[in-house]
Parts: sequence; structure tokens; C-alpha cells
Amino acid sequence: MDESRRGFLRRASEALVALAGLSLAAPETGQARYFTFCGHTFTTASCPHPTGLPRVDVKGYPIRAADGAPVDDLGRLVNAQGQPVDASGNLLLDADGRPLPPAPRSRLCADIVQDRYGIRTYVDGSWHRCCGGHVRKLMDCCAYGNRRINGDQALTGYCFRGRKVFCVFYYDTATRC
Amino acid sequence: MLIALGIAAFFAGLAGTWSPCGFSVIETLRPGGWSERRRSTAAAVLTFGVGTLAGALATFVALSAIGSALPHPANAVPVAIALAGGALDALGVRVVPQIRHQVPESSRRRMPVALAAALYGVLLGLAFTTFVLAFAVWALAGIALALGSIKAGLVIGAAFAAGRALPVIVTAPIVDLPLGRRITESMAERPALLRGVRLADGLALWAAALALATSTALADATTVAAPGEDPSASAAGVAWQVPGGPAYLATAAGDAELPCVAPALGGSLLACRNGDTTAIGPAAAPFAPTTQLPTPGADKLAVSDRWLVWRVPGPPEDTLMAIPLQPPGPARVVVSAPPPSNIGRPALDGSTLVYALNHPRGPSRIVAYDLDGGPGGTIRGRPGEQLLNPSLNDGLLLYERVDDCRQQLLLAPLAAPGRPRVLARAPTQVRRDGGYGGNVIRIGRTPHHCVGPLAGGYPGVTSYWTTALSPSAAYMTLMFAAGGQVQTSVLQFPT
Repeated sequence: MDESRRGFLRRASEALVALAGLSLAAPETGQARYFTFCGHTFTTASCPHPTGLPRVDVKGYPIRAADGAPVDDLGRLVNAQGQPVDASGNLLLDADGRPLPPAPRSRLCADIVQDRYGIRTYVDGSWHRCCGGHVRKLMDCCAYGNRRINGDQALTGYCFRGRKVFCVFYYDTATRC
Repeated sequence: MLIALGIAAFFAGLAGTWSPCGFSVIETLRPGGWSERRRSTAAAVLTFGVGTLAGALATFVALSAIGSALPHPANAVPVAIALAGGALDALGVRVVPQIRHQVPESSRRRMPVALAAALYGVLLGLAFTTFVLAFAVWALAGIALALGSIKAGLVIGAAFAAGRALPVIVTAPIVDLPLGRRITESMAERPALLRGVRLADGLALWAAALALATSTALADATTVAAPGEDPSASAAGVAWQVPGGPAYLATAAGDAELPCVAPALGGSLLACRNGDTTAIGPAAAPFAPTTQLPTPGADKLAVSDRWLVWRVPGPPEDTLMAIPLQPPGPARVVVSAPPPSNIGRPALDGSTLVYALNHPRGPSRIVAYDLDGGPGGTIRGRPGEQLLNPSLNDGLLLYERVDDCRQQLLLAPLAAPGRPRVLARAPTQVRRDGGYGGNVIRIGRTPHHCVGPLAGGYPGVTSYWTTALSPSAAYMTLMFAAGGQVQTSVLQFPT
């Protein structure tokens, strides 16, 4: 029921955008920014992520959206010990041949958003959709307050107890769909 | 940034042509007037140009020199000045308060016209001795003062002089010809021309503000050594290591190759390594060690008049060792950390040791530790950022902060590191995706959380690396990835 409602909303919004035509190139001031990813149908912007798309692992740590490789807070690929590595998995070295210092690896909503925006964040409810052949868990990074990361009015989304959506992120399960 | 400032200065100088003095000088230097022949006009416009250049350089270089001697304000100060000046000129706001003075009229009667022209040039070049026709003149003076960069002062002064002198040099010799008359009539009767000049200097100031907001002091950086890494500095000079090669010491007497590696300067001493032994002696070339100490496994050193500290890299673990030099005492372990923790290169100032401690879990940290047992402190990075490569001199801390947007070289008092001054900034070297998925609706711009453009720095910089701080300059290693190899160079920044 809810999914069909959102599917309708998505199709309706796509139709509106298609009708708007020129507004794609020149959005008006005050128009909601809607720059999003598969499965996410509302206008709340993504949580800040070291490499862009707000994909996280099952514990909420950032991973690269393209391949699910773990990244540190600087966006570098890291190995299981958290040390920065190249695309082949070799340790990144300094001029003396020593491994580069590891950087922190922080949870997207619980650590980075909370610190960067000075708000207490919560990961409340979620919703699952089929994206790219896998079941994707869409999550809201929730907070008390009416302002979201876009700078305008926050929505309730999947948040509980009066909290509202500050930004959104997602986790791709291994389940095929 | 310098280009934008130069353009703004050129148009600010050009606006001065519309001043009473500008019109008067054109009239004075025209042939058939005070200059009786075209040859004397040619000489006069030449001396006018030279005088204008001298005056403008005197003003703007002097302001830059004064600024360099003052505490460096936040980058926001020159940005705000440029924005305000640009807005006022772009809007054509009347310049108030006005300097209601002119060059002395009698000079052209009392002196040879070429000499009078030189005097007029100096006075007009000085910028603030006569009418000011654009807020950009005030703004550029403030920017020169705030930047404190002699190079910026030279660029602004030269460009201002060019703008101030060129109309006179071009127009005065032909003012009695039809083209010259059309030019002067247009200047006198078409205020839109001055309005356009002020609009141009306003836009250039905004461009300068944008460049200032996103640029760094890298323009003022000079290369000390390439290849080179791990600089160490004191009042005596600067030392560095060539990767896989010798180490060097640069003092006022010149550069000298050292008979050892991993040099460290501190206080009056130089320390460097020969295998598992560290030689210590006065920081002068040729290096004459007075002390030899065993430092087994050491790779990086730090020295002051009272302490020697060295790092023993893991595995099994990174360790910092310290030994007192005055009075001599036994070596002791300061800190150790197993992999994947990483202890950075140590730095010393007196008995205060600083080092970076990084671990994948938990915040990145710079630790200040008093080897004499006094109070220390820890600077904790915030989630999402990494702190690296601290060095210390006379209570000032030089270090690097890296996040997913940029890397920065920062200078701050050790006692108040929360409001550092940015000495250099470069974009992140990590490739980002677009921030959106395929087959989705995209309206507006991507919600990128990095504020401002990620421009700045040197193309191809892999990362900022080890630092050093002397009483007069900051030093930093730049690591480049080139052809699968890491290449390094040492840069010097004025502080």
C-alpha cells in the first residue's frame, strides 16, 4: 500500500518535472533540491559521505557506492585494519616506504552528521526497495528540529517520537531481487 | 588571485583619469601648450609614466610591507574588503569621503614640463594625495595591507600605475588631433564611460574575493629542495633529507651536505643519524658532532638543547624514545602504539614534544607532551578529519588537517589551537562519485557538503607531509605520485 503510494508519487513527480522542462536547467529559488539515488523518492538531501553517494555498511560506516569497498573519513579505500590502500589492496606508502597513517572511520549518521551539524542524531525506521538487483535499505538520519540538511522544512519520513529527517542514506543488502 | 587584483588595480587607476588631475595632466602635457613641441610632450609623458610607477609602487609596496609586519588577519578580512569595494563600485556609489586635493598647478609653470610631469606622476601614483574616483583604490590599499605580501603589493602598484598613466600617455600627444578630441570629449560628456570602468573594477574585485576565498598562501611558497623531505628548522637554518640520498643543512653561509641522515634542528643543535647512532653538535656547517648516542632502530629524530627524541617504527609497534641531554640521563619510552596505529614524526621545542597519533578507530590526535613532567595536552580531530605532522617553535604549532574535502597546512598557538591560520590548502585527492544514482530525478545541484570550490594547491599533489617551523618561516614536504613512484619536495612559507 505504502509502496504503491510512493511509486505513484515518484511517477507523478517525474511527470511534473518532465512538464516543467526548463526548470531542470534553472531551478527557481526556494524550489526543493532533489538530487538523489535509486529508491529515494523525497527531496531530503543525502548525508555527507566521503565519496558522494551516502552508502554505508551494516554498521553505518561509509563504503564506496560503486563497489561497496570500505573507505575512511577522507574517502580513501581501506583494508580490514583501516589502513589506506590502493585499488589493488596494496598499502599506500610514504616516501620512506612506511604505510600512510590511518584516518578515522566514522559512522555517517551517528558520528559525522552529529558532529558536523551539532545535532543529536538517531537512526529510526527504514524502508526497503529493490535497486540495482539488490534489496536496498533506505534510512533516515533523524533529529529533533524542523530544519533538514537542505536548509528548509524537515519531513517526518521514517523518524519516530517527533523527530524529523535531517538527511538520508542507504545500505545495500546482499539479497537479490 | 593576483591576476584579478591586477585587473582591479588597472581599472582603479584608469578611473583616476576622470579626476580633475587626470584631465589637467592631459591638458598640461599636450603639444603646443606647456610642452611646446611634440618631442617635449614625448619626454613629459615618459617621465609622467615613470613617476606614476614610482608613486604607486611606493604606496602599495609600503602597505604590503607594513601588513607583513602586523599579525596576519583571517583570510575573511581581505575577502570582505574586496566584496565591499567591488559592490560599491559596481553600483556606482559616489566616493565619500573624498580627498579634495589636486597636484600643484604652479609646478608646470615653475619647472621644466618633463620634471613637472614626473612630480605629477608621483603624486597621482601615490593614489591618496588627490581625488579618488573609485572605492577600489581604498579596497586595494586594505587588501595590500591585509595580505602583507610584497608580491601582491608589486602587482597592485604596477597595475594601478599602468591604469593611471596609460590614458595620459596615449591621449596627451594626440589631444589636439580629431581622435584625441573625440576621446577627451567622450570622457567629459559620457559619464557611462567612468561608470563602466568602475563596474569593471568592481567585477575584478569580486573575482579577487572569490580567488582569495579559495586560494592559499601557496603563491608565496618557494621551493627549498626537490627532491627533499622531512624538513627541520631552527633559527640556525633548515635541514632536509633527500629520499635515498644525503641530507643537507642550509644556513646563511649556504648549503652543506651532512655526513649523516634524518637531520633534526632544535635550539642551537643539529642531530642526525649514522645507522643506529645519532650524532649531535652545533647547528653549523661543516657539522662537527660533540656527542654520539646509541639510538637503535631510529628512523626520525627531534632535538632541542635539552632533549633528543627518536621514533622506532613498527612492527611490532611504533615507539617514541627520549633521552635528556642536559643533564645527561637514561633513555626512556615516551609512547608506543601497535599497528594499525601510527605515531608520526616527532618535533621538539625545549622540553615540549609534539607528535601525531592516528588510529582507524577513534579521533585523530596531536599530542603535546612535556618531557620534564609539566602539563601536556591533546588536540583531538573531529570525526571526518585527520591531523598530521605537527612541528613547534616558540609556542606556535604548525600542523596539517585533512578531510574528504581538502588538506590544509595550519598555524596556531599551541595554547589555543582552535582558531588556526591557513597557510596552504589543496583539494582532496580522493575521487568522488556524482552524489546521485542513475535513472533518478535530478533537480538543482548536487548536495555537496564541501563548502566552496575545491580548487587551489598544486595539480597532482598527493598529500601534504612532514612540516618544520622556524622563527621566520614554515616548511612542508609535498608528496607527489608520479609514475608509480612517490616524489617529494620541500616548500617554504613565510609566516
